[in-house]
Amino acid sequence: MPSQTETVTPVLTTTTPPRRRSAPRPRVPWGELVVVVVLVLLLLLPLPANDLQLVSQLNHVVTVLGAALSVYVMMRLKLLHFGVPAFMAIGAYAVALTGLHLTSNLVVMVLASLVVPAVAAVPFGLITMRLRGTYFALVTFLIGQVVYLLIVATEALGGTDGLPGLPAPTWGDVVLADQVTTMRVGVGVALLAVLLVIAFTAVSGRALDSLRSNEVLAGSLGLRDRPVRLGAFVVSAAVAGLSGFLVVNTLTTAHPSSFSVLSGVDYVAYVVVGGWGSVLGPAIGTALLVLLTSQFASEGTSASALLGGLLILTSLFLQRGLTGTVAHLVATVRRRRSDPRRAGRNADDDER
Amino acid sequence: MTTSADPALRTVGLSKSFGGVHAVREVSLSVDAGEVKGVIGPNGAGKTSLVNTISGREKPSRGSVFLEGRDVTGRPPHHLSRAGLTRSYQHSTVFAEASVEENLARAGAFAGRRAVDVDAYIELAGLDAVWDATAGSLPYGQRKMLGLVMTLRTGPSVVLLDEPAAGLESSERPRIDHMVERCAEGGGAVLIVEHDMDLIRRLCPTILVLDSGRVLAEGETGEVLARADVLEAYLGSAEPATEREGSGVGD
Repeated sequence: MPSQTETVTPVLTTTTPPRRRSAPRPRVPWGELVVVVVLVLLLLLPLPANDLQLVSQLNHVVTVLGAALSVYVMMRLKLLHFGVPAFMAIGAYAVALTGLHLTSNLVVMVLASLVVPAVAAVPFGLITMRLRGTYFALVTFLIGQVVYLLIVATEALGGTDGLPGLPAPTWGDVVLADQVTTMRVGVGVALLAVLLVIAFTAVSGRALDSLRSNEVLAGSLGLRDRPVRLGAFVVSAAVAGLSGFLVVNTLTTAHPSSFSVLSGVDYVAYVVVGGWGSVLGPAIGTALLVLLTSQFASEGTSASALLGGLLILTSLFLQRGLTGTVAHLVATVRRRRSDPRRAGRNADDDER
Repeated sequence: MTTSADPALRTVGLSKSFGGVHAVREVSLSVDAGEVKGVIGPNGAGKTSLVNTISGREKPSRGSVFLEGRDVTGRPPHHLSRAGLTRSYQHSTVFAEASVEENLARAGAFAGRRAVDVDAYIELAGLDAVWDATAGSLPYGQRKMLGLVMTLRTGPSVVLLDEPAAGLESSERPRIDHMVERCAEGGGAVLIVEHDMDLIRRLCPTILVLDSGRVLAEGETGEVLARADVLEAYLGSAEPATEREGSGVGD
């Protein structure tokens, strides 16, 4: 085989004249940048403290953003993760026990919600590593069910009553209790979740995309899939745990009903609607569906039907999600301008 | 223990069964560094199962695989690839959503320290002209070429090619010849499973014939293709292959 320094002279003329290869162009991660900038602005800019509905809705969005990111990480592997509420619950109860028995220090609480679900995810990740498609979705759904039942059956976790009366987190001597501050804590924790996911996908993005696209080929070329799959599952659990922390921080109660298995379907829907090309997809999907849910709430029982209809329409007409569809259209237009003959053939899967 | 006398690839009594179906039976073969060996056989003879078993896609039911003297039996594909044994696939296999450039970058990244420069192969395969194109948008032949160059990007000492010419235009086939020749000249051991007997005759000084999973014949290509039992297995008649040029064994 030719070594890296060896030069092999081609002996065959190609039918198409060789074109000078362009230098690799670094991809600007616009989606990631937009999400980080928006969260930083929400953290720093003054908010109307008297508009409690706006603050409440923003808090709801950032609270469940971690759950959507948890789904997104596994979607990068083409796996539907319905067990997100389980890891939210593990993070939430870890925080509750920390707050009730140890300290209400914000940093310690955040670390507890991050580390405990990540460690708990290791055995589950080892179990689910071999599973694909329907089987992965089913088993993660069952993990959610099992964890939910364990929480309900565990007296130390309050059983069906949960763990009420959690102290507000503290930052030094400051108690972070009012509604705007709670929202800002949520933004900060959501930013941490986003940065964690960005870091993971920056390091493992090529492996994730290859395993999603063609895992047989990736293995034949030398990629070990198990560390990547396990890493994704652990990171997914960690960001779900952060979301769990925000749930109990808002409610001041760790209650099993906050982590029902069916809520996992909502988090999957956020990503399906938003798209999964970058973290912008789950962020937009979460914001859109949370706000729509809030609007539809006035419709009473028909709210679920309205949301369901939206999901059906998305599945039928926007199969790449909102961000993926927009990116695809932009790429198609660009290609059509640069080379009309190739535009149609090249325009697939360009959301990245 | 590895010695310089060890062949690059050796199998000993390799067998693979799927339930009651014996796809590969007691196949022993060896390929030396710089050698190109062909594997032929009628449809269902077990050729692809043999490649799958050697390359770690399937665990062998019995027997052993040695890579440069090291026993690598049953090791997974990623392990074998990093140890120097890589394969291509019968059907065009690329990362369809990624560009040609990104496909080759991934092959290099996954191969780690074994990765080699393949500029000459890229030009040889005509991939320069479609460097930025999405792999899935390429014509079948170019996709197949890309898959082959990606295989070579991993710096293998042993290459298993599963029907590299299948589905290619006749004008594209010489590119396969040149790539295989260059690979062998560089010291690579090449095992080719192929139905195109012209390609086998051009590239493979020795061949191995499989029939119902067993080795029916092995040896110098011309001699083996003239054997009556080989013709019988292929065509159901003992008419010499040389008299059937253009529609010979396996065509």
